[in-house]
Amino acid sequence: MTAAKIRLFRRLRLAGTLVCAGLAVEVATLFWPHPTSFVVFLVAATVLVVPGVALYLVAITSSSLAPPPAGPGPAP
Amino acid sequence: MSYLELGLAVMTLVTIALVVMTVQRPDLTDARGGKLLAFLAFVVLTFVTSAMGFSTHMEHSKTTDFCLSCHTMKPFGQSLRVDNSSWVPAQHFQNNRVPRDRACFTCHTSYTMFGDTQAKLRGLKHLWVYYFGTIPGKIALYEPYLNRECLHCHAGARSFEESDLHKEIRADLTSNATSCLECHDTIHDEAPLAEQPMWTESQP
Repeated sequence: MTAAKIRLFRRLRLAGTLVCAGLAVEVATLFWPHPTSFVVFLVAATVLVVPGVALYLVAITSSSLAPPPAGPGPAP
Repeated sequence: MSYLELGLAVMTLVTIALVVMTVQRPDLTDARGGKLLAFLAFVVLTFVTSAMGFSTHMEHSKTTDFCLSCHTMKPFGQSLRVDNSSWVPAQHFQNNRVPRDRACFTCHTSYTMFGDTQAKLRGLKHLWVYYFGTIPGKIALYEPYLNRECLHCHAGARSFEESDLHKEIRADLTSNATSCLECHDTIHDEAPLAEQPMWTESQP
């Protein structure tokens, strides 16, 4: 496995953790009928979900922009 | 909880499952289908469920139960059930002149383009004061209650328009020169609340 791929997978894992945590909090607030739940929802969305999605997008765009690994040159 | 909210909860859980699957098996993203699945889970479904969650919270924040879930608002909720026809909010609530499940919001939002947004921002401010500030001894409106909010429903209503007094001062009411509350002056009076008989809703 190349270093670029390891980096991509690590970023995906972190992004997934952030998004899952944020979505879990969001869904929990739906069952909590109190004004505070709205604020908790907003905090979860801005602190966890948005950075998670952003990290995912950064991960996939930077991996697609990375140069291909250097291999043996073209056959003479 | 409504079916819509339940559906949203299920959709969010499905999104979480898809994200977990993508993270657990990142090699799936090597294939084109896997890439699409990851994008769907991380971006599309996450955005849709979050937007729907936000919308659900916004709708929920308009309900009477939501407003009365803060104990500061309890006396105002009780004043909706006073068995006395001179109490304006109680009259409106008990006679379905406002939807009972949205009684607070119906009267306390301004019927303007950004009325809902302003009401929500005020709500956030209330929450801040509730947790970190000092709740004032007497709860009062930020600004005088405008006739516009009353006329939003009452203008054009026969009982309102055919009243001799209303006809006489109609222009003043429209221009807010005379407040509706000058005559209809028993609103959410907290002080005599304990002495008032309470209305109990009978089941049909």
